[in-house]
Amino acid sequence: MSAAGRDFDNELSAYLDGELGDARRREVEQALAASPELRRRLEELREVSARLAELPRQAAPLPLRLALAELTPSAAIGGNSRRRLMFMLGLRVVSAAAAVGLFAFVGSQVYQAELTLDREFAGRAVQDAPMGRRSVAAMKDAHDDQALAAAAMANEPPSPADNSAAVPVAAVLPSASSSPALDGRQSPGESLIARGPVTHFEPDQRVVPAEGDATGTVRTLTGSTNDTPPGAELALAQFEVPTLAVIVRTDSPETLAAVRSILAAAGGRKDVAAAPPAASAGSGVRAAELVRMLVASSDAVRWIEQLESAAPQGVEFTLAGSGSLGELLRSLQPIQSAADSPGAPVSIAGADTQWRLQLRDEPAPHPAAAAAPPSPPGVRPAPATVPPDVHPREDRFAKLRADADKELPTSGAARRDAEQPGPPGRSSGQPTSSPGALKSSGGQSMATDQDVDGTAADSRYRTGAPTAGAATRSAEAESELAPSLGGTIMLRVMIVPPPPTASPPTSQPTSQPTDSK
Amino acid sequence: MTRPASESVATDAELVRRAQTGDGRAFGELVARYQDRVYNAVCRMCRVREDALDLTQTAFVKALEALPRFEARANFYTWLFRIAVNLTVSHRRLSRRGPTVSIDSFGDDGRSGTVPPASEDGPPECVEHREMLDRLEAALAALEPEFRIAVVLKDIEGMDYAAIADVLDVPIGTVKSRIHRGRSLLHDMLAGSHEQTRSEGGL
Repeated sequence: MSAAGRDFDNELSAYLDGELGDARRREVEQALAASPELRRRLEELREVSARLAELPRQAAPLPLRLALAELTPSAAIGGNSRRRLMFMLGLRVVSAAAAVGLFAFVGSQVYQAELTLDREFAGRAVQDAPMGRRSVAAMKDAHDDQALAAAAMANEPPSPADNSAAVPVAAVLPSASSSPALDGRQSPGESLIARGPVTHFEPDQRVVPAEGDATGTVRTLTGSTNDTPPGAELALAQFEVPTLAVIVRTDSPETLAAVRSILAAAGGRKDVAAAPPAASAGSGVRAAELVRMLVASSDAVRWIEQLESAAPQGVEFTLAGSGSLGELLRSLQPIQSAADSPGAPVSIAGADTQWRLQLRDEPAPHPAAAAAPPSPPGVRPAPATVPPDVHPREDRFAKLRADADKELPTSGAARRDAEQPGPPGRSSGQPTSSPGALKSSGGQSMATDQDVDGTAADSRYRTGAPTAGAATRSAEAESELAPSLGGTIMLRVMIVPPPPTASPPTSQPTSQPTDSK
Repeated sequence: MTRPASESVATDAELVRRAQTGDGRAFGELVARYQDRVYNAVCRMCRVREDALDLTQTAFVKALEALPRFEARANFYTWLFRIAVNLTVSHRRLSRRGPTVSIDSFGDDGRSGTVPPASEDGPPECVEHREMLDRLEAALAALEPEFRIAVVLKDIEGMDYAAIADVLDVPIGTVKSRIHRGRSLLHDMLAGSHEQTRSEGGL
């Protein structure tokens, strides 16, 4: 190419972009008309530019949106250094969420299998409609009615005294005649919602009449909260529960100790499912142990702190939820008052099946929708704001032991597990069978469909993996559940949000919630 | 994504004015408006997802801190991008470390991103197109940062040369040469990789 040609060549991109002045543009056009080589170069540049424009846009990930939603001018303009510090600490959590590769891999193993299970379950329970894509706002509208209906079942409003202790829940769903949730507008499984510091929840299955058909199976989490009035019949809709997926690489003794501590906190009530081996994906990541728990938000926050402190580089967090991201983040807000729920972690037993399904189906929130309304002053990412001594561990363990003693006839082993430094391994702490499980020929508890789905009558101790392979769960899989150095554990923490009321929760002593049983 | 410039500036200016008085909702609207674009640009520039998260967050924090000093007649969009670009450029890891977790591999919640990896499934032309985009991503990642940033701002973000010059704080002539040089290098890399693919395939 001649010197003049090279000179024009340097102008081709600007010509392509319409950034040349009229005079120069005419000169370039004349050069183009005279030079096939320049025309070829122009086409090359045009193609590159067009291909670049085709590259997919990277939308801001959910954790980033959550963190940004907490930014308020008052926080920065006011020069509140502490708040800024808290925010920056919170950013660490969001940053840690970046390495979602491992999560995607492990999660894909679980998702794939659970999707299958969910379809199977839907086939059996005709009234248990598949989870729809619903916004939080839409759910809230429904839940308002349902919560009123649920509260009406209690026949009396909560009193301050009622808040002092958790009330066991005897029944979950209101009858069809009294529940607006069962009028055919939505599936029963999406019908009820209870928010509050959780003290006791467990999966349940109910068969209720539904419009247009004889029966329908409802999967709910039933339980009590510190805010539950006596006799209230409440359930926590599964899909409403924000989920915190925590992947921990136990590559240091400190991390291992933190994981064991958390597992011990779950005691004998945790639901453990071994993820399937990772060989099929071929990424080289070994199968992660999967522990699912339902906890109060304050516990989740404390655990984040604990894990981050133990292994700042070895913990990956992924916050997930449907609808408003701000809503999800707020659910992780620490309770400012030290009088928050004692929040015992309890079993979830596979109840997040639909939630995960929805996570996969939920489209990315629209930026405008994701821009949560400005958070109230004081709202900030959770981890940095939980007083370390809000819930003395001794109290928590004592509560767990008391709960286990009262509710579980074979809780002695679980209790021992909670007292031991290591995790409550299933080989020692968990019964080999449960009412919701079948015995396999090898003496292992073989999960049934109901069991796997968390809908067995008593699946508290269900230990099957939520996969098609769960039915043939092996002793090897069980042996993987004890965290060891160099392993990976995924904690899927379903978080019960704090009450949505504007007023702060009343002081609630950490008394035994089962006293009133 | 693209709005008339005047409308965008006017709306942004109003939001900025309100945010400067402490209106959190106004700043939230600005965040919602630009968080995707800033994150996308930072991702393309730094190529490491974790860094992109950090840098995007820091950019908005710094913008928030500097908001009282922001002059209403300036363009918030380019001002915000300048913050983000400066942060990215000065980020030491930009040149010291390669990608650890591909930003293209995962979307929210660990799901697959918007571009599935090239596979043998689908019509051949689709497969070829995906492979081409993959090669382009790789070539873009391998580009020198100064060229990469200019190309990203122009061809992906759709900025004009003046806005890019404002963001990068360089003369327009520099922007022009960087864009041209970046595109030329990308073409050469793509052509080279294509030839390599053909030769490896025995074509």
